[in-house]
Amino acid sequence: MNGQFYLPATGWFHALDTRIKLCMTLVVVVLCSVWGNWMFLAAMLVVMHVMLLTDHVPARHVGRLWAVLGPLCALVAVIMLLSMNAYGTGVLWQLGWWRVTSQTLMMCLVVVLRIADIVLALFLTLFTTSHADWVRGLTGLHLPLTAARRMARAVNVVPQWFAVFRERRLMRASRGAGGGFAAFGDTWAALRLRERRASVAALTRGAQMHTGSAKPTVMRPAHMRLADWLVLLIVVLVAAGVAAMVALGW
Amino acid sequence: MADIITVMNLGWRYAAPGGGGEPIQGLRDASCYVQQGALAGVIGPTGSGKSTLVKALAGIIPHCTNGSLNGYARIADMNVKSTTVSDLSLRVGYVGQDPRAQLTSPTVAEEIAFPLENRGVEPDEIEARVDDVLAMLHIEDLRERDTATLSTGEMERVAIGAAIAGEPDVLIVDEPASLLDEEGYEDLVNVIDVMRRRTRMTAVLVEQDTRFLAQRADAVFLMVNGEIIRRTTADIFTRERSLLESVGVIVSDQDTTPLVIESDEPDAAGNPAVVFNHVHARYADSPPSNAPQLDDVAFAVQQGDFVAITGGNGSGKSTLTRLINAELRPDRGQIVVNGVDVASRTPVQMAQQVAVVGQHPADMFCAQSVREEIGFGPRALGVDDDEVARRVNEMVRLFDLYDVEDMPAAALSSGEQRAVALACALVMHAPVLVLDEPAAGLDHRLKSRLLNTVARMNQEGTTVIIATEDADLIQRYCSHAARLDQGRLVSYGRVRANGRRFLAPPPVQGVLAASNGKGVAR
Repeated sequence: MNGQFYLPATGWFHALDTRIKLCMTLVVVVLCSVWGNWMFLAAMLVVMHVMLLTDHVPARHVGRLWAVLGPLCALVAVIMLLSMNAYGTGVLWQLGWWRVTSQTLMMCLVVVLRIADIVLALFLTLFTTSHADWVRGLTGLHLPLTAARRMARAVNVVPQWFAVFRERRLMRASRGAGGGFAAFGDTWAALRLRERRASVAALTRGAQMHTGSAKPTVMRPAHMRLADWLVLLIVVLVAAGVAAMVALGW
Repeated sequence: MADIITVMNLGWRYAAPGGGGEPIQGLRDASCYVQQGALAGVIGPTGSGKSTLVKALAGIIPHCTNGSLNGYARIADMNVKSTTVSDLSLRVGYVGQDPRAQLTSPTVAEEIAFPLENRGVEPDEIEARVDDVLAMLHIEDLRERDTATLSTGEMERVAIGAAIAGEPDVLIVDEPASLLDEEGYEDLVNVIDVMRRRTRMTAVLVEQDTRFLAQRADAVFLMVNGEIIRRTTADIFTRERSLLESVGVIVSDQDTTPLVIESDEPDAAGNPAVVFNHVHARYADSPPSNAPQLDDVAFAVQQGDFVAITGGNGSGKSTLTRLINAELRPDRGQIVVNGVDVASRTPVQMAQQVAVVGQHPADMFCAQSVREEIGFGPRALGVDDDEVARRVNEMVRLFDLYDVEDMPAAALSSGEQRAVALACALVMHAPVLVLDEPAAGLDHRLKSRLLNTVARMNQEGTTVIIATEDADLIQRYCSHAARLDQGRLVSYGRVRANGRRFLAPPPVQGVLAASNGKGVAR
């Protein structure tokens, strides 16, 4: 892990404008939260995997994501099956007081697919958006440059923590000390020190400079290409279609 | 001609390090003046306050450091006390001692663009300026590189690039020679020349390596114990050579002998301590377009050898040293240490065989005091308490750490931190000792003390591998050397000695003891 979620590549999704990716993520999250149609949720999951595949995101990174997401989904399913004892009438299996109905199974499937869809949608954007892309996209949404940089850093705080943790654990290991627990405490201190140094370094490069009327700029400002507009159009059409189906009671 | 830097009776006391203790005097009554367009050098032994002085010029002191300031400092018509660091940066470019702490952006191009974006420069102009800076420093191929994957020398170049991108009136660079290779230093010198001609930029260089300053400096400030004891010109290097040497400043000889590595036949009957068997290494997730860090490196280090791994910035020296104790894993090839395949061992297991001091000693500290720090490794390896105490006492005596043994290692001066880091490695009693740039940024006194100690361990049977670009050091200490270029092994063999063995300790110990203030926290 290099301290950020971003995986360098030159795929089509990497090249999309960050604002479009954010819009797409938002649409997926909202639609999957609103519409509990398992076929739609499963189709979304397939579509997102196809997008990852065609964008040349290395399969091992998708695998790592599923290594965390899979057990999480399984845990949720087990908790639901155990706790939704009285839900539904079509009993498939019964053991004493505990029973499993077809409705419970369907509910589990929908919830698990929802979780997977939402997480995949978020990671699709995180895997394919570099720090520069975040800054460009967020300033394109009229966020001030300093706030955009801060948000871009905040997006990657988890991988940064793990990168520092790995360094600290390795350092201790190279001195003969095993176990990661002791490195846990070191990591917070090292991360704080790193943040402090970065903020001082940013100041020495003029991060909060008073420039009068001149506003900070970005080297490569956000720019919508034809492909970005096309993808946006598709997203809007899909969203409208789903909204119509929901309204029609599908 | 007008002064662009005016420092009058400047004093600075660092706040006491955590856990109590006394505040530490960083600067005492320092006064100096630099004219616009001049090249000024700040020299002095390790811990003499050089970095503190230039941090005060960049505004990091007092605005971003705990402590108390008195006196007056003015730079480019701005009062340091009443101007923010960001506003100072509009006219002052600063490159600190540790380039890792200077980089704020994930890629090289973004890093160099950063100050220009803050100034509100138009995007097209930023692109052009970034290209210009990359070309001036000959780092065009690093343009889209992740800054986390750069070598320390490459980071220094990028930090210099970010500092000059805004065409500052004053450029301050802290100890560039300790991190840059010959080509990198030449590039820096050329950049300074060009910008002095083009914009009448003033340059302030803090240096241990005095070659460039001896030839070109308009003003030289000699610092000892937080005071500027000489405000003079470059003729100090000839006129007061003995004074400089007595305080630990290395006055470079002009007759430096180039490093010659003789091509030996491999010793089939030898007893190898470390074998690199066609090793290939590349950082995880680095794009295929990036060259690998190591490419088909193969050589064997015999037991009891003192081996240097040398080469320019980004040649793969540090990567190679990190493979020896399993800190990094190669993509292909094999590393064998004392008959053990490193691939089959964890770093914890390798700690029995290999003691390592990385390029940044402060990174390895994790205990509350110097004594605990030195005892950490043996304790982790299960050595009993009496033996740990005996070994720690031996190291404290060897490196003369009595005055700082109860202080946190992170609060010590850089020279003392290197001494503690080396003590942490030697105390492990491992048969192989690996040191990455052990003498970078150290004055003559500390350099001779640390390296002579390592040489003594080597004579007692420890195999020593050091990564360094210091040709003189290699010729004085090393039996063999491996030269790397862009990750490939160019030559490996015996070092042709230049007739000078080891560094003599400095002549006047009393002055040194006084010159090296204890525990100058940063």
